[in-house]
Amino acid sequence: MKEPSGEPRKFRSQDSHCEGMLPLWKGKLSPEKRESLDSDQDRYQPTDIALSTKCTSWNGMPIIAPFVSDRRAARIVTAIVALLLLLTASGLPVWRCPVHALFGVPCPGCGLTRSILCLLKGDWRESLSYHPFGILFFIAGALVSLAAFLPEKWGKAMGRVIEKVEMQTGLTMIALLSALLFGVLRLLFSI
Amino acid sequence: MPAMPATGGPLMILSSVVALAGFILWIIVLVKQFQEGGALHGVLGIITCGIWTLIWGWIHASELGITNLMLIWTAVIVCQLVLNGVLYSSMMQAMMQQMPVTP
Repeated sequence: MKEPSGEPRKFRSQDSHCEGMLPLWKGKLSPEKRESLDSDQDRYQPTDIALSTKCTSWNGMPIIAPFVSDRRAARIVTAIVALLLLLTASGLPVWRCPVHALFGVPCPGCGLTRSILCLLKGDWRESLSYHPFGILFFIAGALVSLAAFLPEKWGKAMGRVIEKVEMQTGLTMIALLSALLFGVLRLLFSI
Repeated sequence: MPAMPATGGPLMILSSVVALAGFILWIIVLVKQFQEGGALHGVLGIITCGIWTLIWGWIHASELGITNLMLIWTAVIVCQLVLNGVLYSSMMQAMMQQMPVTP
């Protein structure tokens, strides 16, 4: 796709507040809708808070809210996570971490699936031993799974609340960076 | 530790080669994810062991022009899964063969 001037199209998120970044979830767009990407016709409709906040790479960009607001996205993510948990619980070959497969060392996220499985069984101690951030991902997954089955209006309302929390507190960013830091420390000091 | 079956050696080498290919492809798409999706999405891609990177890559494959790359990466992942399954079953067979027979 090219701009009217002939320059390659620069992909932008909602309006220009996240210039240079793609929207999280666009879904299948018709050619007409794809052409109107520069306007507010994107699948994920940002709230005023998202529009007014200057979005940089490390700002409180919502991660969970777009999935909660979009029921189809929530259902797809729920199905993938459910399949992953089922395969792990049954002991069948599942997704193998590229870092662990090649280097034999855990990546920052290794252990999360087992941690979430332990939480589902009610064993929070073992869950913490596999990955201390399992509970946070469990909560995020529970919110997305809930949105998958709620009426769309409720999901959008929930998405707005979660977006507000994410944008104003930066909670998702803090959690993700902390999990990354934990992973690095685990690798360095064999915690 | 049970002895590796006769097919274990070449299969292990093939598994390592496929793992290396999968790792390189993941890094390529991860770099794209950091550039186009932002740092948070990239970090999420790392923490989810590449699962979110795979999903994100497929969502934006056509816009970023990485459809072929995603096809190759997905094929490598499928190969890895198949190889893991074959290796797992052959190791289990070897373990069963080495177990003492009880009268």
